[in-house]
Amino acid sequence: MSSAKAAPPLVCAGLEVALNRYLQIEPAALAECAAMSSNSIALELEGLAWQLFIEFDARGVRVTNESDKPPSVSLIGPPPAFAGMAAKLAGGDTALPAGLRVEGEAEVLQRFRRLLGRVGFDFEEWIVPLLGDGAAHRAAQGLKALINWGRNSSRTMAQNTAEYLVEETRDLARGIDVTEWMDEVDRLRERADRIEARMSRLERRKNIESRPA
Amino acid sequence: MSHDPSDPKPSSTTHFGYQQVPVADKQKRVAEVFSSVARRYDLMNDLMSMGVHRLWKRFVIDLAGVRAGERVLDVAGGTGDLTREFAKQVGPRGQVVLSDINAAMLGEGRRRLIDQGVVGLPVVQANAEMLPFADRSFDCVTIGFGLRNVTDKDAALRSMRRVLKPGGRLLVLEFSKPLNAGLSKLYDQYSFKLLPLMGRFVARDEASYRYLAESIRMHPDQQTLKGMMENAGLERCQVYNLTGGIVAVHRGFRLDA
Ligand SMILES: C[S@@+](CC[C@H](N)C(=O)[O-])C[C@H]1O[C@@H](n2cnc3c(N)ncnc32)[C@H](O)[C@@H]1O
Repeated sequence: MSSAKAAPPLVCAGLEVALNRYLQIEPAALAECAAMSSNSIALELEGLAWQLFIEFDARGVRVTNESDKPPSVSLIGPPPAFAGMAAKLAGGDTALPAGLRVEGEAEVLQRFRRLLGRVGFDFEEWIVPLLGDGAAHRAAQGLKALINWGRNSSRTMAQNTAEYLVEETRDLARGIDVTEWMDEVDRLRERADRIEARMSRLERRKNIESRPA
Repeated sequence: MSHDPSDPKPSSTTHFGYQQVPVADKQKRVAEVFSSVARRYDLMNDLMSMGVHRLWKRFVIDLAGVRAGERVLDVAGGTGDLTREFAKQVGPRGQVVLSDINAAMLGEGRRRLIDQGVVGLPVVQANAEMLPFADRSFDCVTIGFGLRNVTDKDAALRSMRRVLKPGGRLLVLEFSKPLNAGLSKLYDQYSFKLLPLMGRFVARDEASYRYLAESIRMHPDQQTLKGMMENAGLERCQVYNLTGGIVAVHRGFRLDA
């Protein structure tokens, strides 16, 4: 194919967790994933030069950045082109968004698009935060991104339909948890800073005292 | 320092932190460390990682994607942080088993779970190297900050794979190797100077915390551990570096039928 590199693992994790949350809503969607277990799909995001592989099983999808078997189908294009992939289909338009290229079994891709449409997953939510200067880097790295990623995905959940409610109550509770312990983390960090400061004071004093008169 | 999985069983010594000790002794010494720190373990955990360990665990929980009805095994589960979250997720139709080799840690774990309203889950004292569970009996197995304490890590990985159902996943959360030199230096300062000091003042047990710092350095790095997981028969192994590689989550699947 091309110069594509393995996508950052945290980016794969973000997509996997988000997709699985959507797929989980509908038992029929999971049944379709199980039926697609011999298939896999490669996504290649041009510009970022990232490659991701999506595999299916009865639990939903696995998203990794390398694969030892060739994908059934590859989808290649600039990130924004992926955004409309499911939306257009839901609107009755089966053509791929402009700019996306397909290599391999088009039928597998159509099944995947139908699956996304059925559970209302839009790549846009996942792609947009990755765009913009340095955003990809930020999204892929670091704790901040991870926290925000967790928050965004629960916000996304909250925007969705009533079918979520069961799930959501649990995730809302989790949202509260998160803020609570982030506060705790801050407090701890301050405390650790104070300990550190006190220790360096002690150390300095020790050095002064042990200095030959 | 990195471990070569193709090495035949080394002689009869292994590392305990930076010391070489007879293989038969390591387990006993590790047990002493954790029995000694059990009561103050959570406080020290927060101090040690400046609270960030909760975030790392949060990531493991999200990535594990545990569903209602699943069976989950938390190996080296200690005071039960991961267990508690999984217990909420599996619901009444599922089951989480908390296991650890150390009775003092398990006792503390059980007490804390009850305090938090999590009751009725099985607590099993078990060595990760030879888990007393049936083949193919769990959808998900986790080991959080436990693998580096295990004497025979390859045996533990095989054993954890054995109890996974086909399609099931293993998640290993463990300290690892910082990805950049600057961070690595800073981290050395922190863990070899500050950590034992905190161990002395907070847990009144400097030696145990020195062991923790040393054991982290002796643990295989990201790529080595990934290779060990593949050798144990796990597939689609992926490494997720967190906090610049200070910790890493490794995930692999049992895919055979
Ligand atoms: C640092 S604690 C981690 C506890 C908990 N998982 C957490 O993340 O907070 C490590 C635990 O590993 C356990 N351990 C050490 N060797 C073990 C072995 N061979 N099999 C099972 N558990 C072991 C210790 O008893 C201890 O409770």
